[in-house]
Amino acid sequence: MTDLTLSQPRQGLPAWAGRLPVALLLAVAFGVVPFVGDQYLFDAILVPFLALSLAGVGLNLLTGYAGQVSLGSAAFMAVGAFASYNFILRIEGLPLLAGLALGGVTAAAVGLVFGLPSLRLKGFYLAVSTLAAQFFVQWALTKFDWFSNGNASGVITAPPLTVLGISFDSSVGRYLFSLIVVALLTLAAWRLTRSEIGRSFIAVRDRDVAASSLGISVLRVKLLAFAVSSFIVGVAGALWAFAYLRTVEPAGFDLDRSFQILFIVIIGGLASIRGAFLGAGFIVIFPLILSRLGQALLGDTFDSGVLENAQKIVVGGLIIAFLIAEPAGLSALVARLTRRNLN
Amino acid sequence: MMMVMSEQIATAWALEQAGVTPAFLRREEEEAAPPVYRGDALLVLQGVSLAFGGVRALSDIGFAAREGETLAIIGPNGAGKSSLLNVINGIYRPQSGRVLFRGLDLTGRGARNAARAGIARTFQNIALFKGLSVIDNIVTGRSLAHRAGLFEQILGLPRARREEAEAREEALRLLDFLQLGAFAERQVGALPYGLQKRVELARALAARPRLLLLDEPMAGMSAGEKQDLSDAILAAKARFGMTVVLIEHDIGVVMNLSDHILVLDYGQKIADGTPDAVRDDPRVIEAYLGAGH
Repeated sequence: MTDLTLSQPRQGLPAWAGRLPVALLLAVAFGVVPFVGDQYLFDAILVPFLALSLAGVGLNLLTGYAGQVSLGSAAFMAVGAFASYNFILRIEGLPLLAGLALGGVTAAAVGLVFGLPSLRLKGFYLAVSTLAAQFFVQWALTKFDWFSNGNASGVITAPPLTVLGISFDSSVGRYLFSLIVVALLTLAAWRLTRSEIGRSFIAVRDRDVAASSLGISVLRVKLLAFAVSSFIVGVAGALWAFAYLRTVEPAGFDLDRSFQILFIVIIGGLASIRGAFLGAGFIVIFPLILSRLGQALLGDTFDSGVLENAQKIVVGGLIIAFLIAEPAGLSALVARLTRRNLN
Repeated sequence: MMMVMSEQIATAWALEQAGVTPAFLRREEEEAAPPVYRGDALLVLQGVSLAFGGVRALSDIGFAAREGETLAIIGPNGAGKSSLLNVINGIYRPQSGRVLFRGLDLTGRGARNAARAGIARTFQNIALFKGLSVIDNIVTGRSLAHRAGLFEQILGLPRARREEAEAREEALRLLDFLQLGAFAERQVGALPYGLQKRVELARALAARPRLLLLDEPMAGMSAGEKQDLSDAILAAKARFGMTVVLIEHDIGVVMNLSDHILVLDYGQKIADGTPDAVRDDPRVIEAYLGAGH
């Protein structure tokens, strides 16, 4: 992971110009989409897209910025979801947002523990050791029904999404709730990447010996990266459980989910905040478009099973094509295209 | 000069403490104490030996560097020069011997503690952070000056903002000082080799070190670039007043820059003295100048 040259400072443009697209996107997301979207758009596309984007942002801090590969993202999502659920269930009158934050803190603590091997292991070896988190958490949540308030198969049901007396328990409400949480945490993550701590993440990733020769504590940076990343991934897990699925079992946070988030990060672009959103868009939305398109064009000729598999082949092929065209991910591809248009 | 006085006392204390070296660190035969500057020694190495498996990289190296001097370490390839630098800044832990800096025993205490004590360095194979711009690399050199915590930095609270602004100002001064201003926002990996070497020097200077270690700062440079960098090192010394220990192959540069030369061969010290004395030393001529030049 030493040769990544991925952070892309914008050159020659004033600071506000770089933020303009984000401001526009937020304006549309808050001001237009809630009025024009339908239930399918919110429930099946935008809410999962937002939750997975946030998980991607969290993992990107750890893997993209700090260079520590993790295959335990789904475990940290599960910890965030189940911990939030329990805090809200067991503490009378605990506000929903406090429950989410406590879920994130619990995920951070678990992330810290499973980040300890990173002090001795690097690269693939670390990735394999994070599998421990994946299997342990899923096992614990299934084995001990206390976590799911006595449900034998570990299923939990979302608490009502009410903040300050305002209910978000509708399609558009869940979308807005997710959007607010994701926007705030993404802003925090973005600020972090531009701070001294963010630079020390990159320093440890690129040259750990040089970083420690500058007085940076490699140990502290790695553990902090695990904690911060797991906090964000944990909150993303709570959103996934409460705003998207609404009933979820531990198996919903399996290794496939961990891989999905890692692919979001890699396809979107390592060490790029917007990359997480582009990657999640590609992973969540693209297959849906493809399957609708396939259904409409070829639905009469082939049965749905064949179309389903064909769609996976197409997505897989496109991932390979994208990564050959731009190994630094969609984020770098977008940067290249916009620069070309500006020149 | 109050500082120097108190450091002498501290050095004496540290030397006394060293009497209690654990048995597993002690060598079978106690070595004779190497020459130690009793005056204003900033860095003292005593009986440093380092081996990788069966390969001896350093054998019983002892020397002292005075506050404010430029010490050049020379010797043929594989003589152990880089290993010695890595011992000084704590990357390697020697099997025996001690590293005393400002009276502190830094032996085996790691690079981070060496940095905190005031040692900065550059690397033989440039070790810049490729994912950061030139200025961000230099700003990272000031990491030790940051006190603000995670939330202060994320929320941009006053202390975090002030520290960030200070680090950036310092980086801009250093960019200016080393004539790197035009490259501030460039990706560091895209710069030519000579400029990267200079960025690395700026990053080390950003820490405002008391001792600067330079591992072949001029390797692979043209004569003109070497002259520029020599001038920059002299100017930095004049401005920041630190002690420099450098490894260099170009004997002209070494003679020009240094007040004190240490010659290594096969991991052993074969000469230690002023440039004039070392130049005339027959062992040096045989081992180094005679063989290579």
